Amino acid sequence: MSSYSATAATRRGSVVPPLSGIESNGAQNPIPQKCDVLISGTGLVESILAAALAWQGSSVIHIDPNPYYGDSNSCFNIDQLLAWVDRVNRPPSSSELAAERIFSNARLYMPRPLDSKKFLVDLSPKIMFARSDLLSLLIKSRVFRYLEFKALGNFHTYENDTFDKVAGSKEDIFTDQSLSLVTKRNLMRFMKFVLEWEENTELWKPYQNESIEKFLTEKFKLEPQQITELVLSIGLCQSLEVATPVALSRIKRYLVSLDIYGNFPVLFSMYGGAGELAQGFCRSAAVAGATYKLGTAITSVDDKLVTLNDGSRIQVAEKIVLSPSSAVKKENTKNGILTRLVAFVAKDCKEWFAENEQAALVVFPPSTLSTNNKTSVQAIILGSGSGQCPEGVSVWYLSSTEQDPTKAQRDLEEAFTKLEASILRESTEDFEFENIDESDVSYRPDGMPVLSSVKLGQSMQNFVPREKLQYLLKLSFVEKVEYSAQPDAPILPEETPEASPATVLRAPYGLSEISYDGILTQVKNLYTKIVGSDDDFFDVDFEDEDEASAGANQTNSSAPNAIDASTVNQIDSRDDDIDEFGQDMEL
Amino acid sequence: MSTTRTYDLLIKLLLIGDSGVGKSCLLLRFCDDQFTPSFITTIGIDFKIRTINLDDKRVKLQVWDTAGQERFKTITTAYYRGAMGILLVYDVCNEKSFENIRSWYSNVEQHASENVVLILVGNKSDMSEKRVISPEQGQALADELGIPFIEASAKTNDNVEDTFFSLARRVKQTMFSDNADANGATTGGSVNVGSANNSGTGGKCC
Repeated sequence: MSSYSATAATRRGSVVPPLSGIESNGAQNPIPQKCDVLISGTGLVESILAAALAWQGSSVIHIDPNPYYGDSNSCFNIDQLLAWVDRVNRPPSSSELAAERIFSNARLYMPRPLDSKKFLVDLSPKIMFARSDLLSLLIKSRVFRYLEFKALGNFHTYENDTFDKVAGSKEDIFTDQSLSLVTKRNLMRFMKFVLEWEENTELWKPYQNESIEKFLTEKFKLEPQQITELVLSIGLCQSLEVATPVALSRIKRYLVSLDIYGNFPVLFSMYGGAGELAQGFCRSAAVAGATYKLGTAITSVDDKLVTLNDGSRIQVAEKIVLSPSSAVKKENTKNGILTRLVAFVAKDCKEWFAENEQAALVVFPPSTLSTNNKTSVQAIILGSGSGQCPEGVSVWYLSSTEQDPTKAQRDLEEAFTKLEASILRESTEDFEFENIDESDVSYRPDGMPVLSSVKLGQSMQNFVPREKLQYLLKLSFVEKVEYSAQPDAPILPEETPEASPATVLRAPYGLSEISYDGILTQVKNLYTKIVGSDDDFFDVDFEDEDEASAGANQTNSSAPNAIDASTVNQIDSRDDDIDEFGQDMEL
Repeated sequence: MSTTRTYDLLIKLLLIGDSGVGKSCLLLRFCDDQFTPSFITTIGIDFKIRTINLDDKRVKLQVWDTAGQERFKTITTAYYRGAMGILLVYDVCNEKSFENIRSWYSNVEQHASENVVLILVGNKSDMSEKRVISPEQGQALADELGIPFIEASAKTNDNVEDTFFSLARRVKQTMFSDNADANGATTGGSVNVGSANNSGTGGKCC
């Protein structure tokens, strides 16, 4: 009867075949022969789209040419990363000439081998504002249950060789001793205004096409340092030249995100950013009935009959959606570039994190680096609590929107050097406190002395570190992103709101924006082209059946689930709250 | 820590194995005491919950299904995160599903946390006519992998309770020993985005 025996088990011993050894159950379980929408590529945009369509009732087949989820948003262990770097740098074969290449110029430095499983490199690290359209959707769709989020409270601005922690809240401004009373008053007046800036048109309309710098200087008499912090750190804009309304909405985004979940404006997801969210939406799509198959590519499209490289043929009723990396090279179209520098560093960098946190953000404003950077360099610093590196290590993700790749690389290296010098200074124990007296020291609630960072920075300019920073890995690469004529401006819905006549739709490139803002607009543009409108986008009543059934069917349990039900209600009501706001934020 | 709750421990369990071995049936039998005989691919089941009593503790079991993503071996790595116990399920009438257990085991090794607790489950033990894998074969494989083994039937409800209870008990012993902080171990510093502004303790959730 059975060809499997104890001998066979012994013979195979401990050799465990990889998962690719699993064969599907043959004829009982083939890939469907037809579907409404076929999507290739499991990046975040495509994955949210798949889930939205599946819940809307469309039959969806979602494939990815790669054997892993995430497409250009993936998060790799070291083994996967090495293979990816090889792929990026390999010259295209003759059959690949027409294929789109999202990444280029990957440079990897890894002095010695690392334990592959213990390090994760995120191709698209992003932060999530506590009040944002995507977070609202994560809650509404319940995809948040597949993810784990942590807080990021500290935003630092690099200026005059110091890293100041940004005073982002009214309390911070109040207690900031480096600010004069006049400055405090002006800042407070601006904070009050910006929360309702849309309604106060008479104040900013004359500056609609002027830079935010001009507006803040003339209307609020703010000092350059405050303007820099507001626009470039709190607003995360690329330069002070940004148009006034764009910058105002971005500054407001930060302020309204404070105190939603605690005293921090943004969150990050553990184990990776956009790639983790993509996996969450893929699971959601699967729960709604979508079919998933990785390592599978489209070999040909004949009208609406698609042939896959596994030999199967699929009749597509509506649309075929291709991620940029699944598509052919886009000709005669502009795209922008985003240059990244990633490093694993043998320091926990807790000096930069707020208490009990595992992440920080650092902004290097234009012209603050010796390379005379035209745009900001933005850095996300994550500790081991991110699940991306072991204890005692941190991962630094630097990015630049500078469009000249050589210059971008120089800006990033220079910013990296500044970060390195700073963490060596701050973590050196035998540092001599020259020129610092009692008045520069304040005390934290736990009794630890803290130096005023301005003074600290000044005295540290002459500091020569006695140790060198140990890199475990350093990687740089260039990514094609959406071209933006006006940097930092919100992505607007496309002009043509009706369904597209074309069968094959191409998903857009990624965005250079460091937060998730703009991604849902990209998804809804695609959704509208397929469905005709986005009125029913995730318009699903996600009844909490698990909790309900658990309560109803606990024949063997003595525990009623009253509390669970109330938690659910709480989630629902928050949801409405945030939803309302999410619409606000879409502008 | 938060307000009162109706359980002492929350344990996340996963079902893993080939399509058609009865993962969803085991889940539905255990959590809802239901059984659907016809072959259905998994649609619509995300996870289900059942609270059980285990040595004077109320243990809330959150049992996650594969959502059909096992069909083409496309389980998301995120599925394994936070899993404390995993049921490796095969069908005693399907030899391939038994052989594939090794591959699933290797997948678990790769993606699940190191101290995850496993059990090998031979489902459809009631179908003596069609059986191709003997209990001895199941036991031999379990011994080789160093994990416990049980045969069960979601259809007749044979051993289903025992399967989940024994796994839950071992998870409780391994991960929630008296000196281990259960909550801290799994969700240290995480923000519960499902309930905004509930803590006021700097984003620490419970």
